[in-house]
Formats: sequence, C-alpha cells, structure tokens
Amino acid sequence: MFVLTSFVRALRFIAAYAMANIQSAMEYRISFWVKVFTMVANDSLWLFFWWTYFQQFPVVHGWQNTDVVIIWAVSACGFGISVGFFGNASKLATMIMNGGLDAYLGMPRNVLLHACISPPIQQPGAISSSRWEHFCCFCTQTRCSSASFSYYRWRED
Amino acid sequence: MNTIVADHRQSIRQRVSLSLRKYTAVLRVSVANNLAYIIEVVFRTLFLVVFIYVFEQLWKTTFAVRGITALDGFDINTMIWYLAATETLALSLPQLTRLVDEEVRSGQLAYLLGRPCSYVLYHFAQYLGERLVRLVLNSAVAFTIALIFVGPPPFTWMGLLAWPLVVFLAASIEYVVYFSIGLLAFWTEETTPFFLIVNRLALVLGGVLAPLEVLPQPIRGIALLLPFSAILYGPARTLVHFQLLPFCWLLLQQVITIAIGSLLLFALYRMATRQVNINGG
Repeated sequence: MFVLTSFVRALRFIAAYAMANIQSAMEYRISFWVKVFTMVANDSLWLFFWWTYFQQFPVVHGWQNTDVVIIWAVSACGFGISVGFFGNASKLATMIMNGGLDAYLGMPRNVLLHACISPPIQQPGAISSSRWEHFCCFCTQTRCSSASFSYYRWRED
Repeated sequence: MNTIVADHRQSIRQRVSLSLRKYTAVLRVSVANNLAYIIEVVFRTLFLVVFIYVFEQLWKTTFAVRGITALDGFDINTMIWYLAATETLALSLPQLTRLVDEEVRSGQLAYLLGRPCSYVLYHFAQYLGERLVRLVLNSAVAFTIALIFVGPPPFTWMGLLAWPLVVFLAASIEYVVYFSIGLLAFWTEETTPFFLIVNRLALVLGGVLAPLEVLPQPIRGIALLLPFSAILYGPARTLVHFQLLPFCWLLLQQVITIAIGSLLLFALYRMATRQVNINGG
C-alpha cells in the first residue's frame, strides 16, 4: 500500500511540475513556436539525408526508407518524452559542478527526481532557454514522429 | 614630403605588426588553455570513432549489396577517407555561438569591449587556437581509424599541400557564420535554434554524411552552390580527390563567401554595439 501511495504521489508531483513547466514555456510564446519550428526542421534534415540515400539505394539488406522513418519516429518520440519531462537529466553534471544540487537536497522529495524534472536554476547568461527547451523538444518530437508514422502507415495500406 | 609618407608607412607597418603579435599571443594562450584540458578533448574524439565506424559499415554494406566498386568516382577506400576528413572538420567546431550568446546576455561583452583589441578579432584568435587543438587531435584519431578500416589513404602530395589552406579558409567561413548567429542574441530570445538549423544544413548539404555526388539532382546542384559545400565537402574532396580546376573554383568560392560574410558580420557587429551602454564604477 505504501509503495502504491508513494507512486501516486510521485506521479502527481511530476504532473504538477509538467504543468508549471508548460506555463513557463508558454510565457515567451513567439520564442516557443520558433523553437518548435526549428526542431521540426532539425529532425526533417536528418530524414532528408535518409531520403536522399534511399533514392539512390531503395533497398539495403531488406531495409527501406519506411523502416528508417519508423525507427526515427519511435526514437524521436522516446527522446521527446524523456527530455520533455526529465530535461535536467542531461545537465546533472553541470548542476553538481555549479552547486545547483544544493537547492534540492533540503527538500522533502526524492532529490534525483526533483532535480531532473524541475526547471534548472538559471545561470546569469542562460535566460530561460532551458525552461522551454524541454517542452519544445517533447511537442516537436512527438508531433513529428506521429505525423511521419501515420503517413507511412497510410502509404503502406 | 617623402619623409612624411615614409613615416606614415612605417607607422602602419608597426601597427599591423603589433596587432599581429597581440592576436598571436591570444591564439597561443587559447592553445595552451585547450591543451590543459587535453583529456576532455580526447574523450570528445570517441564520438568521432563511433561516427566513422557507423558510416564505414553503412557504405561497405551499400557497396556490397549493390555489387558496385565505385560510386561517382568514390571507391570504398576513397569514401571512408572522405568521411574521415569531413568528420574531422565537422567535429572540431568549438561552441562559438553559445560563447558569444552568453557574453551578450551576461553583459561580459562590456568588459571585452573595453580592452585594447577588436572583439571580433580577439574571438577569432581564440577560436583558431581551440580549433587547431581539436583539429590536430581529430585528424590523428580519424587517420588511425580510417587506416585500420580501409588501409592507406589515396592522398596526393598536391592534395596534402592544399588541404591546410582550404581548411583555414573553411574555418574562417564557419567563424563568420557562427559568430554572426551568436550576435543575434542582441535581438532574439534564443540563438540555439538558428545554430541548430545552420549546423544540420552544413551536415546534410555540406557533405558530411555522404559526398554531394550521392544527392539527387537538382539538390546536388543547389548544394554545390551553397557556402556549406565550401566548408566541408570542398576541403575533404581536395584532400582525397585533388583536381586543379575544382580546387581553384573552391578557393574562389571560399574567398567570396568570406568577403560577403565578413561584411555582413561587421555590419551586424556595428548595429549590435550601438545598443551597448557601458557605465563606469
């Protein structure tokens, strides 16, 4: 029972932070959409490379353009979710080095979980960039991947 | 009259010489700084090993499956050495945009503007120092890996002699582009998206992942005209496939790109510095 309660509490904690992060991300609306657009372009450029490759070599060991797009869709979606919810995970080393972890040590929550889901403590130079980075990545990757996945399923059908 | 002209010329020469010594000193310090953290730089080259290995497997499989020995003049040996050359260049790029972006946002720019040197040239010297260390280390690693995978390189003496020059010009183009993006921090909330777009365009249309010959027409023609090809494809092709006419064309393209890019950079820099207010105290 205790495990279940802790799990539900952790989920509610993550949901609360996710909501706060979305609101924070939407504070700079134009920048948010610029970032979403550029992330779409960024992912599309990788897919463009594979498209050009498969234009020259349509089948390589049974692999086609469709397969690569689906792999990209699934991995981009996974990456989007992980970065969207736990965006600080990749910045832990910098946080520890700059003493950023101290703020979480005194709080009554799991330190690692809290440090990973919260918006990072801002450096003077890094104004709000990493705050909305999480959600731009998440929105873009999931939208991109679901769109490409549906497109290729439609083509296969 | 002749004495005045001679004095004036000597004064210009002295100023140029002093200026060169100043920026050479910055470059030396930058090299020393990067050598101090050499283990970090060495760890970064591990990514290069993975990159070359993955693309070596991809192209070897492609050649084997299609039953071809050459693709638009690139056999498997030339292809792997080409990829090693482009990836050496692409992965030696320092985080210039982020540095300039942070200096603008944190206000550290104001301290640097007060120094008796040009902000743009100071960063150029620093960038060259960092790039030199990374380039030398990446070249050594890429050379070893490619040698193990596909044997001796197909380089000619002409290609080897021309390579440092085209690499220097390519690095200068990249400096102009990424420094300009960093300066956009004066007007935009975030410069990372612009950096990402330009960087990915350079990877795909610059020929890092595959030579431009692999791209279908008319994309290939467009990619050859864009400055990205002068940064990565051109220098790598000069090294593995040296031909005098394309080399001269590449030099011309690089010089024109640098000239136009520098003009835009200085215009942007002038507009940006007009917005800076420095208060003493």
